[in-house]
Amino acid sequence: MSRDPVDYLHGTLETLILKTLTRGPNHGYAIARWIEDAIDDAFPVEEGSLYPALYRMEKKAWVEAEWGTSELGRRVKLYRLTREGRRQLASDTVAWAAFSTAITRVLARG
Amino acid sequence: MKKLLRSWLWHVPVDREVQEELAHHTELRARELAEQGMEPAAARAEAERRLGDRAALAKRLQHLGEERDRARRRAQWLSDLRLDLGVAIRHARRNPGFTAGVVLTLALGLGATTSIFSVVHAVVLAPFPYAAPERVLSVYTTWKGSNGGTSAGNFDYLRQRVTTIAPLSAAAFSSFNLAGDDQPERILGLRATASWFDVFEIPPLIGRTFTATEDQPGHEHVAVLSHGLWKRRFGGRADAIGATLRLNNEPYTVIGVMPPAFASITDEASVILPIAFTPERLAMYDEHYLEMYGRRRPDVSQAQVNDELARVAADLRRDHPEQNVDRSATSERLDEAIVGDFRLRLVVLLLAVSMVLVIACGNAAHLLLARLAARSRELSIRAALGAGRGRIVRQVLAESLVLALLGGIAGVVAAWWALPALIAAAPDGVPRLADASLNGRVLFVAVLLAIASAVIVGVLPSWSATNRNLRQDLGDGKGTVSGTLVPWLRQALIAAQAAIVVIVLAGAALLIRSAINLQEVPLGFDTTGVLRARVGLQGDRFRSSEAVKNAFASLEARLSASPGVSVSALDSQAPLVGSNGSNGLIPEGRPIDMASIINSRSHFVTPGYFRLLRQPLRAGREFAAADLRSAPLVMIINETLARQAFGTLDPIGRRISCCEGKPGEPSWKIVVGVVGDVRSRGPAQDPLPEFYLPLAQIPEVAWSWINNTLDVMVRAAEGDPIALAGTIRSAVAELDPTLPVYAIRTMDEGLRRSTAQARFNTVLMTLLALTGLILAALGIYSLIAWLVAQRTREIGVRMALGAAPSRVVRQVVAHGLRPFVVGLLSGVAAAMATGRLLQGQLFMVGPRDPATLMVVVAVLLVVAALAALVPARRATRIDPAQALHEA
Repeated sequence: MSRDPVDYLHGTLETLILKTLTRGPNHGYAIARWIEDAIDDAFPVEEGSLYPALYRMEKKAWVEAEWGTSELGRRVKLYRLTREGRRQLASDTVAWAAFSTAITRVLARG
Repeated sequence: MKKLLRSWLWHVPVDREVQEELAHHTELRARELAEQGMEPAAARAEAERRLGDRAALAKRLQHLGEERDRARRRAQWLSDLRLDLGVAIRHARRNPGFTAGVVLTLALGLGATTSIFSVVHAVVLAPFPYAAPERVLSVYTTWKGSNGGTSAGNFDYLRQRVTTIAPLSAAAFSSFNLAGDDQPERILGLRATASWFDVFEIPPLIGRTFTATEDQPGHEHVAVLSHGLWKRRFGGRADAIGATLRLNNEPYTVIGVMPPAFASITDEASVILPIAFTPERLAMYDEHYLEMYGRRRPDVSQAQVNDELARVAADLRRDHPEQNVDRSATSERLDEAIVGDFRLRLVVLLLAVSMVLVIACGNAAHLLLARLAARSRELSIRAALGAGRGRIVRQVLAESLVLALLGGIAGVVAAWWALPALIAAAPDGVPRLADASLNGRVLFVAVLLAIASAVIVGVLPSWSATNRNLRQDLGDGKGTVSGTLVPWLRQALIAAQAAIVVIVLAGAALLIRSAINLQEVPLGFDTTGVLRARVGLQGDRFRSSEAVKNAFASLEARLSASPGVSVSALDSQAPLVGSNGSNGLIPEGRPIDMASIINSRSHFVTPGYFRLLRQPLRAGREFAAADLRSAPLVMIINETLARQAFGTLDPIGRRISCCEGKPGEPSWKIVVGVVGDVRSRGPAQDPLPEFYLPLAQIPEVAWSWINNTLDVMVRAAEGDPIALAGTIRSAVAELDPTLPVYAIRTMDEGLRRSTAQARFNTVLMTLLALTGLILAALGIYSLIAWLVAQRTREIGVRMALGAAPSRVVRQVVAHGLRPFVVGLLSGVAAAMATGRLLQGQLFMVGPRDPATLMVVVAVLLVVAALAALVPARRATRIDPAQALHEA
């Protein structure tokens, strides 16, 4: 049985959000869309996990929010990467690379 | 800073934030789906479907959001605090003079407070080491209303009938010769009933306490050691249990060791032995030598206990009328009995100390106010730039807190240094003082004090910092903290300080007057050049009173013949030593019953006694070598006793019954001389009726009253009498090398000790008062200096217009002194009210002594004027041209 990719997403969503925000402040929907594009719609980014992740990251001060104006001309909450967020992304990236290399090596073994 | 600002502006409530965000999300999703060709209604439905359970998600987000805001506020508060503290520390470091001023002021106040508090805590507040202290009682029989000891017969009578106290125990202090490897040692011991341990419910540290069986004659050779003696004699080893101790040459088996805390109850007694009443002893109702201790039953009140004691005592008077006329019984809590005398003194000290602390806080507030005046522009600008009143108050509070904590630390260090000095300076006999230490509770109170002072010191300035008209501050360059509030505050502070200083200073002055009065009181004898030691003859060789008598006679003869000794004498209780042996005397011509008795201090002396003390003979003759037991029995009395016994009649040749009579069978002694009164208990105490018997004539039983112990005194032919200590030691050693000599002390030293307690209090109060005076002077100084700084321009103008410098000085000083004088006058009124607290410690001076108060006021005025003059003179050196230019 093939596994649902969402299982792999779990735990890395926050890293993906951080990566998204390196392109500049953005609102929740845009973040979701950008991730979906980047992974070629391999799986949907669930609102039910996206927004709680954003709030948690706010609490951890990896991102901070401010009110801006959306493409609809409405007030919208924009998320911006903080210095702590940038630092977290860097360490997540290193950790992920090490992790995936290790897993790949194990799986490649005869 | 940007972040702070943003968080202040971030005011959207969390629920709206969540709703808007989710609405925005679904709208964008629906629009995108529609662009891909979906029906608008279907697109909206699909967007909504992808959101899942919207209400649940919203609720979850709201919860997360609130959590996030809480965390953020906490972080904000902490970072603000860090910021404030950082600023405060920078300020403190950038103004070392100011910081040192505040810190030293507080250190003085806090240091005095914590060290005195430590003493009060140890002596009064610390709980006693036994269970349920409110039920442990000291039980007395009273005679004519004053508390006293109890006879074995009376104790037994009470023990059998009193039901509200269980158990009721008895004990008596006694001293023992403890034989040792090299030097014999004289130790204080306690003989107690077995029930005595049950009263306190303190288990022994090791071993056991004695049983009721061991508290029987013939079984009583067991000993429980104090912790101190165990450490000293046995090095704290467990094998002390079972060891043998030779006390007064009799063997005692060690069965237990009490814990160290027990010392506060037993008055440093080194051993506790069974009292083992004999049946004969229990039949004696007349010798009141026992102290009683009991534990009140938990179901009765203290009043019920005393009611029952009074009832049973009435029965006792009925059953044994001869020995118990005017006798009753009562009880009080033991801890109060031990601490009682000291409580008021220490509370007075604590009060004075708190006052000094208040003065210190007031001074710190002065300094902060002055600094605030200097910074008023800075604070105004910050307020104008949007710093809230809360932020500014917190900033100023943080600065005060930093200063107070520094002051608190410095204060604790000062107390840590001062406390041992305080304990060392204290006289003997302050209960539990040795336990005083800067313990956790004391430190806690010290830190509380520091924080309280921070609030006191911080609230006033920050209140004034925010109660100002900002525009006015910015409009004219002059520091408008001088508007209306701060000068008023500072004047109120000065007035309060003046009032408090008067109270403390007046108290100290009254104590100093008392100390001077004490020194000028004639004692009635000459203390200089006299050395005294105590010698007790115990052991097999001294079983008979004849042997004791002979031994003392040969000791005195040996001393008289020693080089450097001009005269020697013996006394059962030399003046200023503090034992309290007395006998009931009945003068000739009065009915032979209890109502005629005059209680008088007894002295059993050798013929050289009055010559040695230079105690004047008012009438008749001194004792002579011929006054032997076989000759007519004679007596010498002091003037007080002569007056009480015979009024204006000539006492010489009249007879007084004392000491060895039986009921109905008086034993007469002829009065052969009258000597001048002596203040035996120190200069603060009035003379008592005293009588003297020749040692050669005292009845045999009297030797057991005084436990074969006498004071040996020698007067030096010249020089310091302490040089004769070796002479006394070797004379005693020649008698018997195992005999200890103890309490070798010059009479001058004894005099100093008798007034030590009063001196200790006086010194402490004087130190406190001086501290207060210095602080108050600093307060005046800083007020005037600040006034001069504030009015530099005005003074410059006036001097430019030709005002004489002396006139300027007068005006500035008058301005500063006015509130001081107002405070001074209210302080005098307060001092007259509080003087009453000192009543018990005053000697020949009233608590409202007008001369003392006048001197205090005069001293304060002079000091205040001097403190004001220094900065005021600076005003005259103001250069008008420069002052005007700067303006």
